[in-house]
Amino acid sequence: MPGQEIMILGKQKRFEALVENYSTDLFRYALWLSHDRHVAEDLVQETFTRAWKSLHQLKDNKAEKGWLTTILRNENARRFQRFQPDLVEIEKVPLSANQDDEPEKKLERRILRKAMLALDEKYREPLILQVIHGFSCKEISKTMEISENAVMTRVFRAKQQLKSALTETNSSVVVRL
Amino acid sequence: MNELQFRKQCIIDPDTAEMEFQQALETADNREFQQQCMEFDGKLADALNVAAPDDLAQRIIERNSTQKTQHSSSFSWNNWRPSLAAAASVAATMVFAVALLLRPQVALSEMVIDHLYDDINALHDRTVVTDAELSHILNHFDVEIERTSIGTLHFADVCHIDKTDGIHVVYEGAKGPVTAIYLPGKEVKRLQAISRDQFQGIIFPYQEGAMAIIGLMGEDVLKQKENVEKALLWKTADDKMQKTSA
Repeated sequence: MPGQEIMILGKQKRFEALVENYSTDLFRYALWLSHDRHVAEDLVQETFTRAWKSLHQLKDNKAEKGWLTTILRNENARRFQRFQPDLVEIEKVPLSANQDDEPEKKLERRILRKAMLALDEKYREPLILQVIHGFSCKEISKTMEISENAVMTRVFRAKQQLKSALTETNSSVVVRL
Repeated sequence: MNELQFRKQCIIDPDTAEMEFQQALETADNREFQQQCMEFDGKLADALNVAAPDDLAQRIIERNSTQKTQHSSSFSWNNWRPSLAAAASVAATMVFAVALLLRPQVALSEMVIDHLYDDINALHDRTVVTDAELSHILNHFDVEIERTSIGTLHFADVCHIDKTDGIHVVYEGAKGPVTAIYLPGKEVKRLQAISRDQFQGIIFPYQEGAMAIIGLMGEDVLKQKENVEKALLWKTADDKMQKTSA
């Protein structure tokens, strides 16, 4: 029926816009959650498969990112319920093309990445949501289903730990020099 | 906002629009500290900025189009590790026995199993449905589920098959996930066998509609039928009256 076709075309268009707008950020988020490129890609794919099926539930366009993030979080949780994956070093993952190659910055990046991986999961995740997705503490609290105060405490501790890692390594480099 | 509160807030989110925070930015020291925090956040963003595959979006869209036209059969046997030989033998016997008695009605049974494939992820779901989630779904149907008669409930939702809203639940059976779908108002004349790929089941008249129970090959679906019937507690006219007056 023409009416139905128009509805399907509308759904397809909306879906494609979601994929174009959010797949990259979701991939980054998934990669920091899973530490594995292939798993991250599967998670993103699975997220969009679920999103396609439930697209009618997404009434508010402003909630798109949070909605997709919640689906991805749930998919990741299911993965852990099924099996415990081997973790792969994320340091081998290439950086975005727009990143420069200054040795000092490269070193900082490496230290921060290593420190990120060493962070407890409960501190790492809200930080990723803030840094990659640009979520406010309120949005993180909604996505992770924890209080806003808890989010603030976790983000604070995460940043403090990363800062210490950066400062300690930098001073040890200075001492060695 | 005192100095300590300002610094803490600044570390958490140096870009916050909070009124008190903005007022605290009037001092040069605070502005400098905010600048440092922003620089640090910039470094973090830089470190987390890993490259996504160039064609990721394109691949997602293509795969979604393919999935729409094909049945997904991504169910992983490894999740359940059934004993294939025993399962096949029990399945063959049961399906054959049921099939001898019954001729499958293509339309509804096919639609039900199509739906199972469309929502194949429901079979992977290992979360446990909460009482609140369950009662929210069952509320539309004047029924309750008495959980002890069936295995752990991993999925429950309202499904839409052939213009009818039904109940779709997945619980843990003896051989793996068992799907039960109830479609009010749908007619099947008698109990019929359903099977496709690794799934087998039955569809039968139930209450004022049709009920389908589908498990993995080897699942004793007749036993599951008993369990499901035992688990579903239909509200009587009195219950409904009480609910309305309450």
